[in-house]
Amino acid sequence: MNEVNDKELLKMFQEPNTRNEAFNHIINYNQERIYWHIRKIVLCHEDANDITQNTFLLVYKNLNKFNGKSKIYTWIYRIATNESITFLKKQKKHVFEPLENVSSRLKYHLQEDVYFDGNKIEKKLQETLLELPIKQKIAFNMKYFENMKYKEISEILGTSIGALKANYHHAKEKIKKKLELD
Amino acid sequence: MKNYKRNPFKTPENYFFDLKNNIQNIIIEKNNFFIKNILFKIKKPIIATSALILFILIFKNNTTYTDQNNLNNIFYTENEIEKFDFNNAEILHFIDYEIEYDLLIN
Repeated sequence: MNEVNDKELLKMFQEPNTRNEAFNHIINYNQERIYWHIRKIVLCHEDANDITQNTFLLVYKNLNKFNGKSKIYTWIYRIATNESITFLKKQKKHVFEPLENVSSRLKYHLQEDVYFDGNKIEKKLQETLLELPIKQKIAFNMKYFENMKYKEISEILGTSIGALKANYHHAKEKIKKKLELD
Repeated sequence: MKNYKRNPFKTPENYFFDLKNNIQNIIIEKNNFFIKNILFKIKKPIIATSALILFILIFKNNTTYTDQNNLNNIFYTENEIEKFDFNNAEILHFIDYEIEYDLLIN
C-alpha cells in the first residue's frame, strides 16, 4: 500500500460515510500478516487471535490520531508488537519473574498445540527462538520469516539498523549452534 | 543457516474470514455501548442535580430554628418544632445539604 493510498484511506476513515469501507480495506490488507507476526511471538492460536482483534480495535480507535509520519501498516505492526510484548509480560506469575520462565511455559504449550504442524527440526527451531530475548526474537522473525527490510524493522521496533543487524547475526549464530548440537 | 522458512503454524478453517467479521462485530458492539455509556453518564448527573435542586426547594421553604438552650448547632424545621418534646429529644442534625440522623433517646 503506497503513500497515496494511505492518505486516501485516512481521508475516507475521517468521513463517517466511508469510515467502515476504509477500515475494511485496512483489515483486508493487513489482517493476515499481522496475525502471523503476532502468532510467531505468542505461539498459541487463541492468544494470537485475541491480540490480533485487540490490535485492530486499537487501530480503529486511534486512526484519527495517526500522524502519518510512517506508513499505516508500519504503525499497525508497531501496535501489534507492543500488544504481544504486553501480553507476554502479563503471563508472568509475578512482577519479578523473568520473561524466560514465560518462554518455558510457551515451549510446553507448543508441544501440545493442535495448531502446530512442524516437524522435529521446526519444533526445535521454535523452541530455540523462545530462548532468545524477546526483542531479538521478534527482530529475527521479521527478518527471517517475514523477509522485512531492516529499515522497516527499525521503524517498528524503534531500534537502530546497526543494532538490528548485530542482533540478527547473534540470533542466527545461537540458533545454528543449537540446531547443530541437537 | 539452512532454510527453515516453512510456516509450521496452522489456523482453524476460514479463520481470516471469521476474524474480519468478529472485529467488525466488536466495533459495532463497542459503538452501541459507547452511545449507551454516554447517555448513562449524562443521565446520572442530570438525575443527581434534579434531586438536589428538588431537595433544596423542599427544605428551603421550611424555616429553621436553632435550639440555644441545651444543644449546639441543631436546626429544626418549623414542622418538627411542633412535634418535638424536648425532654425526650430526637435530635436532627442538618449539615450543609446532607442529613445525618443521630437518635438520642433520653
